[in-house]
Amino acid sequence: MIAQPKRSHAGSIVRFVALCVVGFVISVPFIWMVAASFKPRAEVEDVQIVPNKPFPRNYSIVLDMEPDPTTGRFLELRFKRWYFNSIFIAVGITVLQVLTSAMAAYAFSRMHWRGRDKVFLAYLATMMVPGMVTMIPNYQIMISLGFLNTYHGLVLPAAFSAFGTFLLRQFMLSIPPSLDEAAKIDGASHWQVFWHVIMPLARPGLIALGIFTFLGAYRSFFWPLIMLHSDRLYPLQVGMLALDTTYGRQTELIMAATVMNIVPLILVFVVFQRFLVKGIQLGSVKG
Amino acid sequence: MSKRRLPRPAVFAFLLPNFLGFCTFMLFPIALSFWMSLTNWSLKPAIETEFLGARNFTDLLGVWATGEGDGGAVAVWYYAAAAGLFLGLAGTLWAVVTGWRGGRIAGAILTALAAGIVHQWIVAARRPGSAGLAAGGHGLAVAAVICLLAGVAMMRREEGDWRFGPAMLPALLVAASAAGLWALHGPMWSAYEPSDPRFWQFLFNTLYLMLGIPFSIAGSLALAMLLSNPFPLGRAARRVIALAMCLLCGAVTTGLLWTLGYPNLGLLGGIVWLVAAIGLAVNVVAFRTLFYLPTFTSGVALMVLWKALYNPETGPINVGLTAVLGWFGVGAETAAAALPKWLADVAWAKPALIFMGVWTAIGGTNMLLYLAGLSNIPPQLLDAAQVDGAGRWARFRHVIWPQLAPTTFFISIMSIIGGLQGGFEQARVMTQGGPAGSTTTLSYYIYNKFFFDLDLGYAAAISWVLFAFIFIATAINWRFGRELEVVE
Amino acid sequence: MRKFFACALLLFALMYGAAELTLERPPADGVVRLRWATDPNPARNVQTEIFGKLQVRLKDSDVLDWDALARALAKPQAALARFAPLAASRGNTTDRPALLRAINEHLDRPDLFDGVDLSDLDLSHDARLLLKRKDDDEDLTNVEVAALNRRILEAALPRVIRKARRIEVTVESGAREKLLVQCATGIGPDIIDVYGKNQMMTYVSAGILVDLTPFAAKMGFGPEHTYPALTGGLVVDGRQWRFPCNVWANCVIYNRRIFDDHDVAYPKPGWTFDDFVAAGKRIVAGPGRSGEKHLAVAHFSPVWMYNDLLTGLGGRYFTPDGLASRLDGKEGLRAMKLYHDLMHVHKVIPTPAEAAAMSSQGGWATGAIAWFSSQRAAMILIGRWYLCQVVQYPETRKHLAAVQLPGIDGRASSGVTDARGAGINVNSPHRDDALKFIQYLAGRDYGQVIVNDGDSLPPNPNLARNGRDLVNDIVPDPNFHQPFVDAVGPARPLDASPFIDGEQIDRWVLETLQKVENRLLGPEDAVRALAAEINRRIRTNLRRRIDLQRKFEQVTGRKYSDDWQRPR
Repeated sequence: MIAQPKRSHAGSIVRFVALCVVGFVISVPFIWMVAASFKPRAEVEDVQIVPNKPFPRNYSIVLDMEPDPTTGRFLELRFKRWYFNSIFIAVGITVLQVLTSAMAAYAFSRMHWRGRDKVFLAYLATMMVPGMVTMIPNYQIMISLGFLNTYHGLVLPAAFSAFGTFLLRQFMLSIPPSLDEAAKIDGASHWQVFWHVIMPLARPGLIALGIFTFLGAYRSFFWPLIMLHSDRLYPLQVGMLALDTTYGRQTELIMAATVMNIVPLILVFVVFQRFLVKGIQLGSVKG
Repeated sequence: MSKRRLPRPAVFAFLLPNFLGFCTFMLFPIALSFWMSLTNWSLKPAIETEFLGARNFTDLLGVWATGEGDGGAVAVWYYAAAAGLFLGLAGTLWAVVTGWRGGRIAGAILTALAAGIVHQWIVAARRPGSAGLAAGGHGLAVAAVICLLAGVAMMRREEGDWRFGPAMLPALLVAASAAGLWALHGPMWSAYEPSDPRFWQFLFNTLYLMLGIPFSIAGSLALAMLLSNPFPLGRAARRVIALAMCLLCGAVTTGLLWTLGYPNLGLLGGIVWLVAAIGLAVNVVAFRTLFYLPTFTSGVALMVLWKALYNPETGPINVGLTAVLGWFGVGAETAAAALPKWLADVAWAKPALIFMGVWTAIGGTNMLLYLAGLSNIPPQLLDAAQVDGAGRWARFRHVIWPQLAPTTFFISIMSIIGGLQGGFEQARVMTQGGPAGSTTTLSYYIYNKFFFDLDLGYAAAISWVLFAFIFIATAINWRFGRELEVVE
Repeated sequence: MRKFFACALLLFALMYGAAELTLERPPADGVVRLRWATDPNPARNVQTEIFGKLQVRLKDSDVLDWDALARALAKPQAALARFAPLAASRGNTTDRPALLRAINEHLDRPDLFDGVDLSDLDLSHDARLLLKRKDDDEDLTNVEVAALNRRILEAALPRVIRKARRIEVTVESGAREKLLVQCATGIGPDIIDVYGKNQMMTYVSAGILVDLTPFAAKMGFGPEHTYPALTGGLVVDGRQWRFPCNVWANCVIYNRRIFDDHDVAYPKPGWTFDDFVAAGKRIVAGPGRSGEKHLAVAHFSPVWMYNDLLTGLGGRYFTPDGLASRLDGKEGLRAMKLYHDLMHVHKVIPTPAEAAAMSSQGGWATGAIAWFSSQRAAMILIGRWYLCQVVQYPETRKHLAAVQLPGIDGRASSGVTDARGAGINVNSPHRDDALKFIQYLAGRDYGQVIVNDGDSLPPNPNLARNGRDLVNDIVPDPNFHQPFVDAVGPARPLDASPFIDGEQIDRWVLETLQKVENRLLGPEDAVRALAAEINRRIRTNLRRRIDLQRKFEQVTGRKYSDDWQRPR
């Protein structure tokens, strides 16, 4: 906090009220979203935000556990599978990326070899390149390898990240080398130093990277959009698009889907909040 | 540690997976993308790949004389002059606002601009049938000469001290040149045509959508300042009492309005009280968390939400506005005709997207960075300022704002880079590129070219042009961001 | 830490395995499954079912040994017990078609081999799979029932009945926009519905369609087997690329009740554009006698209406060599002016604001169709396929009548005819089987389904000689269907140019129309801008594509150079 000269209580109250108003404005769309997801079809277009007859069945309709009351048919959209796809792809990408980035960061920070800094500079340089530049040829590569419309096509390109390497290298550089040297004197190999000395100390960085990666993978939209054609493979974001295209008129269903979509994000946020703030600040300002 | 001749096997073991992925999915694609942009690479089986050289780029950026094929060279000068004008103006404004001592750079730009304008005028006047051009050209020539003199003068001012006074002169000249170029623009526009007018339209869309950035940064700063000090809430007991009172007020408000027949107002009123209660309970962390929520949950889900909010017939924004207008006696049909159709309306689609963007970003990462920056300001400075009798606004302008300059600079550049690349998800999810292409940004244009026309070569060329813009922004950051950090 | 990562990797591997294993893959039963990219019309199920059954029906050429068949039916063994009545009544194998018909009727029965011991029969793999599913009480589709019976018959009479090649068609009705890229990247469907000539030009120039010419004459689906007026929409440079699934030419369908309500005389064949406008104006002038207000024309598709106007005036999109656009010619300008006036001067067509309100009722353009179907609009310019949409509105059906498009500026009525046609993906692994499907489209079985469903006109012209042929349950009045037959003759498909992408033209025309509708540009300026943009794109395409430059030389006889447009 910035040290302030003594402020009057009036000033504090004004500040507080202003913050409450801003908080209210920011939360109104979310409130409407949750309220609309509980409305039956007939009430969705009403001015009144709170439903007269709460209708929690929208959620089970979206999850294909109940037929839609207006048409009598099931939605036949694989929402549960999309959820599963999103989670498992995100987990896979996160685990692979954190692991490979940590190992590479170790190689860049703790090992000395010829050309190390030049290669790292190449990593940095590519971080500047916008995603679009690489996505187009990556798509061609996927076609040639036959990875279109497969899970591995989604996971593999995202499992390596220059940004992750960069971030973890920053963390590792801040760990004093005396610790490794002590371990080496005791006869530890690089592998053991990595796992038993460096990784535990780099844990905040690992968690920050893990969260970023998980969020990025959960939210990724463009790459699955162009890679996938069977709706069995869609992650949740692409599936949302399909849902919106087909059932866009039925706002209450869309809102139920949206709520279910952001629940994992909110969970991650609530659980990992303190790591996030620190991670953002460390990761951004250094860049 | 001594350096060895060759990397050891251990290094390979650690580095290999990441490096392999890096080469396969980063290095190689970048090279391949560059190659693609030089060919007519297409996914269509009927088109054989042939080397085109720079043809993709000239087709994208080139401007031809109407009906005459490849007259691109002269008009490129014209657009270069216009770009230089814009940069000069922007540089002047920036210098005024941040006290940036870039006098030499601005002088160089203005001199180059003057040279370009003079060249432009000479060539344009030489073209047959250019009587109209001549009229605009005279004004242009005068402005150009003055620009030249001012530019040279500024370049010689080594200790360039930018204050509001002398900086006005170049700004005025730049404005005069702009007017001259504008006068020339009409006849110039009809004399030339861009070979890909959509590129310029979509570039305009991209830049337009970036207009929300200053608002979002200002908003983040404001929120950060509001949140930077926890509230002096006092002891736990007082807090609990205040909390209970808030909740009680909330319940009373809601219940009262509900029974009076205004359930919406009741709910909204109750929410305000609830937010206040939480704020009392947890202090600023509550607000910070709440404000960060839109950024955190942003993505396709929120865009679908906003698409539903903006729906002209059924979305709560229009429905609510219709109800509000109803109180003022405006009938439902009149309201329906008068209210903008948001995403379906050519004029309102982009502002709607800007508003959504500001809502999402205002309490986001930028605010957190500003909070960090604010906490780094040495308190002695502020104390000293107060002792000197500076009011709140003066404190802000002379202490806080300059201290935050590096953060502001960084945030601006990151936002600009993000803005240049962005707009894809909004276009794809909410508007499909918008009514009559009004929400198509460059990244959506790349997607269309690549995924529907299957023209990978052209799409790659557009992505490299985008990269060029981003590179310029990054270079500015690298060159001047350091300077700002070093200064203080 | 190591354990954590190990567990995480293991978890991921498990989830990945679960995900891959639960992907539904088609059973390896030797059935050729053709994927047909078409629209989600429920009628497709009937059409694919008939095709599937046709593959497993007994044909004359399938019987290898008629005598053995006669003997087997005369003394049916256990498995063929149900055929006993057949043997009794039609033991005469000289009437082969009748015998085949009778056997085929039996093959459709799901209970044909119930209670029969099939264990000593050498059943094929797919038959065993089907039998297992039947024993598990799963529902088999009609085609699967027929296929199972056929296989059992084949097993019961080895060397007498040829093994049928089972081909079944599954409908894929996903997003069309991804079709091109799917076909180009090798994961596309086998049979592709091509909507209109412009789309065909796009697919042909992309190279994703199979050239049907070598097979057409032999298998009976050449352009001579469908309407002559449609040939230009199927054939490009002498090569045929698709065969129609249904053929349309727009007419004006009007609601007699609304016309009566406003005291407007019914349109007569040979009516003119001025009659059309006058009728529309009368209808929007005020409420009818019942007090209800009505729209004059339910504006269903701007592009189709404009194309009909253009063709009605004799206009064309391109010059004969395809190198320049003729939209800014006299007819093109007049067509746009007429369109503009219909909307903004005569107010016969609703403006986009009104249309947006209409189309908020879901689906592509079904807003306008829903308005007409719910009797809020008096007229609609549409093809006979409207009958598929009006099935659910029994009240409206009673009042429907149709008339050909009005003649414009003294010319005879003439509009656009085109077809939703089926083509074959050049990367399809089942090309020969897909050709059989195209052959089926030219046949009577398929055509009759189209007639009955009201899905425009059947590809086989013999099934649509006059209005009486087209009578179906939806609208039994032959006078309703007659104009649709009459409209095809004088109509023609749009013309196209090889130097510019067809679908791009459609998009640009739509944008131009939207600009005119929103009054962003006047009609003449809009058309001129459109023509200029088309010319510019042709120029760019020629610059970038060497194969088009070769075509240029072929078409003009001159060598290509970048300034070919400069007047000499």
